[in-house]
Amino acid sequence: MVEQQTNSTTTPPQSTPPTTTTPSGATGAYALATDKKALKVKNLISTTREVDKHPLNSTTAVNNTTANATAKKSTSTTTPTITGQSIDVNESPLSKTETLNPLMNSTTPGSSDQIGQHLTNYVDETFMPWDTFKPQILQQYTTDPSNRIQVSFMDIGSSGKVKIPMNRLNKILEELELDKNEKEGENSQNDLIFDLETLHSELVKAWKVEERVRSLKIAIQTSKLLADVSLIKFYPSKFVIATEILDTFGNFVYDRIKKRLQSSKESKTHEILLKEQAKETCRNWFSKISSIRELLPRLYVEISILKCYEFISDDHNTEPKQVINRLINQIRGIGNPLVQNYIRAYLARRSFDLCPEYKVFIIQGLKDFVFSQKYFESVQKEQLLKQYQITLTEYLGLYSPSLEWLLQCLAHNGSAEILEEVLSIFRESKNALLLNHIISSFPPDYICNNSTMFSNFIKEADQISYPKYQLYCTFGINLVLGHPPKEQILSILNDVWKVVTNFENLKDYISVAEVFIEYVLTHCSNKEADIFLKDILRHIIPDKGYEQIQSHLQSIVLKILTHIQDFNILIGLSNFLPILDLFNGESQKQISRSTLEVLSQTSQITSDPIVVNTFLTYGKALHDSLNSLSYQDEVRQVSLLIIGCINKIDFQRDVEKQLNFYVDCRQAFNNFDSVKNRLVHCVLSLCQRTLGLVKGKHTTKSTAFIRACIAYCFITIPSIDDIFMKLNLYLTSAGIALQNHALSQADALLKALVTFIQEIPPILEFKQVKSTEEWTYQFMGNLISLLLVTPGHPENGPFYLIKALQKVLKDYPWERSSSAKSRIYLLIMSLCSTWAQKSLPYHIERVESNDTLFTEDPDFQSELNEFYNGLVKDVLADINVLKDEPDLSTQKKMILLCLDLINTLLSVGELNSKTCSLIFNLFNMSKKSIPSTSFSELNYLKSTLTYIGTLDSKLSKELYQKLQQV
Amino acid sequence: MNNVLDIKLKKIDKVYQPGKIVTGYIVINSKEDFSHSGITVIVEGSVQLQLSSKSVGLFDAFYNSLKPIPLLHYNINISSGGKFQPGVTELPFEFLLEPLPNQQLYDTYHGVFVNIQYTIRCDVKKGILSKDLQKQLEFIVEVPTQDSDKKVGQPLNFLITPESLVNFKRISKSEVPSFKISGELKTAICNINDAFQGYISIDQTEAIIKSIELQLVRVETCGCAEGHAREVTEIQNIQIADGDVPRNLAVPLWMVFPRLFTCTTTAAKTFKIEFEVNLVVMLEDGHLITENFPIKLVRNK
Repeated sequence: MVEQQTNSTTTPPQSTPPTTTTPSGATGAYALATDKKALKVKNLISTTREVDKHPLNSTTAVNNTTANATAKKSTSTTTPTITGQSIDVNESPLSKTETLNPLMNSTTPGSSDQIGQHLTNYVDETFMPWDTFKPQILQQYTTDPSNRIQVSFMDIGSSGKVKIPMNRLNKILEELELDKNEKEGENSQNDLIFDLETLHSELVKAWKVEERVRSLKIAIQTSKLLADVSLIKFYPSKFVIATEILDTFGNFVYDRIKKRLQSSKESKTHEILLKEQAKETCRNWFSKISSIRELLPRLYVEISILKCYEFISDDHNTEPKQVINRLINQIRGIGNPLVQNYIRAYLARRSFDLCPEYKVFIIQGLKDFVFSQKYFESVQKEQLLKQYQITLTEYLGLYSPSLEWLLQCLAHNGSAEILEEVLSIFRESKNALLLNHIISSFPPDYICNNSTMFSNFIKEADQISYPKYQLYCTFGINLVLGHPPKEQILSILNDVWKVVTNFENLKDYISVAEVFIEYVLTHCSNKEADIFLKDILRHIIPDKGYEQIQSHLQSIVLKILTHIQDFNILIGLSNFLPILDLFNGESQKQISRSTLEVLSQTSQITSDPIVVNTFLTYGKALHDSLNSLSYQDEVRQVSLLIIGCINKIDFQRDVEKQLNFYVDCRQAFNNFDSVKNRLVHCVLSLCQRTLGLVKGKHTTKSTAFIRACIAYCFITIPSIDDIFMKLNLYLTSAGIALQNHALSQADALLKALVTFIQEIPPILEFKQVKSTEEWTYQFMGNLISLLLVTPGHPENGPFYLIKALQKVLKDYPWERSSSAKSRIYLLIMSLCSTWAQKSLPYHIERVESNDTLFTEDPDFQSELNEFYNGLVKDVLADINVLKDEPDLSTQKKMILLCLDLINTLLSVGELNSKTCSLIFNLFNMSKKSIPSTSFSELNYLKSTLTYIGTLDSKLSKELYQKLQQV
Repeated sequence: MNNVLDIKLKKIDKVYQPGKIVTGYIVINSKEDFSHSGITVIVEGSVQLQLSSKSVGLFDAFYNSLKPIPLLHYNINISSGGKFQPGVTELPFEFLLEPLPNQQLYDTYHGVFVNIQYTIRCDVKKGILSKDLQKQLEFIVEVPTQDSDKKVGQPLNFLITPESLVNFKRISKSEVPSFKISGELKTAICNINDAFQGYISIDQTEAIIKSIELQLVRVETCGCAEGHAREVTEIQNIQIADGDVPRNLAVPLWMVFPRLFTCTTTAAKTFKIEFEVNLVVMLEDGHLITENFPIKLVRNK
């Protein structure tokens, strides 16, 4: 539409036929030529910069840019802006396998590479390395959730050094020296972290100065901390940090031996000697560790250097599998089940480095776990929960990381027999906690293929050790990830839902629903999804239950939106919109936004009243949620989103409905400039569409409609804050108004435009200070091109607008030493020249321009000449001012202005004696002022002279000779 | 001048069996010319006995038996005098590990009242003007147990109940809470290179268990036919369970015999070295339940 319009309003000047000569009426002044050899002029001037600045030329250019801009807008809104919104943690693909331990890497790259290689042979990307576990654990298990756990020696994304208060440091060091284990009172979590920090730095220090015994002592000290469960909520995190230190120790020991083995490969005998030496070192380490009195430190330290067994694997009792079996049994001696299970996880972790294929021992470990859980439940539970003041669920949650890790090690590449064996442990124990982790760590497809069995398992599981709804959640996640057999999809759902739908606690219910909606969306049809939503609604409507579970609902809706991208289908789900109505506050904003995102990405264009209504409701909600304090960027994004949606709604031939829709939009999105900008453009293109429908000839009805449209623009534009946007819109609207024969409205628009010019700020301060001069100049070019065909005012005369413009320009606060005003005057001079022609180079269809209205009028001609003279004078005055400015850039501006003036005079004016002398003076002055180094100006001067030489009047010949002598 | 003289053995672990040849070399590392007037290597092995303060003065006869018993003696003359170039000079030596007549070699053992040690000493005589140099190095002797003593150990079951207890301290038998602890030792005749193994299971207790420990003790006896002094001291204490372990769960017993501080169970004319293991169950209220297992250490090769 817009392009059509451009073509019809502006015809390129080149095609202008030369008009016939009319004798000039003016005497004793610069006169406008009525006859110009436009073609010739054009040829010559094309070597200069004039062409770009031709007022008629730039109209096309700018109109094209607006067209481009709108085109751009529509494309930019169709590109997807949504990124993955609700990806479950478990879903995220984790691919870090090569570097297992950043610390190891930093100490000795050589050996860790080998470990990495060794492991990559066994591990694929489904294995979640410990490094990814760590930050999650640290985040989740803390006594103080508001304070992030920061550990300087661990790569967990936190930066900044942790400072250890000196007195604290001394205390720890003393304790270390005295090697005693008594603690004074309760330690806070931060104290503990400080302790661990110190231990780590001391370990590194001690190792550096080759104090092996001290290093060992520090490792023992570290593991002793793990026996203490007093800050029970922090325990998993403590485990993470402490084992990091133990890993460091273990790797130190291992790497040193390894390095010494590698250090020389000179001779065979030497190698044997080195091997002996390495073995001896290992034996020493192990014998030293075996005499550690306390069980837990002894086990932890031995596990930390477990890898060293590979050096002495042919000794007595050192076969790795044998060692691991012994250790897993020894762990039974740890009384506290939590401590016990964590050291089990540590063994699994370290043994994974030594022989990843070996996993039978984990089954033994799990059996022990279940066994001690039973004992715990019957004997220790009550007292323990009371002592630490936590709920059972919380307490059992503490086991999660360790169990998860154990089961992952077990299930990864695990054979069916191994999985079966684990299941049999569950069958015997009915331990729900174990079941939860079985489900979460087994391959999703395994779960899917045996879904009925697992569903039954969940029903059977005990109620005590883990909440049932969480089991269903875990189960659901796996069902989503896997591929359940087609024929079972519905039966699984029905089976599960029979139980879930009867949950009494709404939160439990919605948590499961949140997971299973994804299952329905992934594996079932939209019909099932709708039924599912209905069930949700049935649960949450009573007693306004939905107010408590906004975040769950939000996640449900987001999941629906990511799965169903077509807005029409969404609307088709009869239970979807009712859910949308249940949001309030921040979540409403989020949901509105996501809904609109889907709408703006829908490929189909629609006029469905429900869609329109939905759009307006949620768009308005979104609009209202933002205010002047909102971030600029957010406003921008939301505006783009709304524009995208507006583009999707189209009533085809029903233009009136379309206009009404735009009216509603304006009302709804009153605060967004860019939306209003888009609306005005929409309405304008609506005008053009109407014009097309009536085939260029408006009827009474369509005329009224056009007036309504233009009135819409006229009202809307002033409410836009951005002055540049405003002016552009005025100009475009005026053009469209003219084209649709709404002359008085066009006049009003132009009048408003001229008034607003003075509001253009001379300087913009956005990030950097930028002058608006160029923009203003370009804009004036466009404006003047339009004024060319605008019929003069019936009462105020043809010069009403242009004179007003001149006045505005005169009063405008131009920057010092700016030549813009004069350059615009030059454009107006060109306008005058065109007006002086008998017929204008282009017209608007069915609009009478000044050539028809006034050209024959002698008053018009004389007034035109007078006006023209005034302009020349003004420009000369400006040149005078510029001349006195000494700095180089102003001088350059002055020169260009002089030469521009000469060319304009030559092309638009009649060459008389006065003009000649003026040209001569201007030429002289510019020639004097051009520095010899500025070639472009010199070229311009030269081609101007050559051009004068080509003119064939007498005066021009004289002038040419005179100029040549200069 | 400390690093000028050193003794190095071919075997890094410095462990030798009787009948084997011990080879090594004297290392002289000097920046200048090194002149000397004789280098000798003296190899000695002996049993040293000591009396604890409580046994002192019991028998006169004791004092005879307390003299060190030489087991091994060599005097090797490496060089009678000369001069070495600056740098590292290695002078090899070797000897057969063989006891003196009418003696036998025992395991190296570092105890409290009995010590069995083998050393290599190197003396370098220098001129009148400078100080003589000396360096000493201990090497370890491991004697395989005679075949006749190598009986196959049988698993040994044990059961501890209030009824099985003797020797009550600070508590009367009737006050003892009821408990039943069972278990098994893999064997009481332990290979010194292997670990002390077995399992323990708390079948039933009323009291809460604080800790279960294995205490390794040495029993050293000095003396002769006229009389002897028997000393029992702890070598190490190893925890095998920490906290209230679940009932009926077999918790493994595992203890590695520390090197140097243990040797094969030895009985000679004037001294004896034996070992025992105490299984100690500590209760939360401070009471201990102890079971003693005499063990025999053997060395299988």
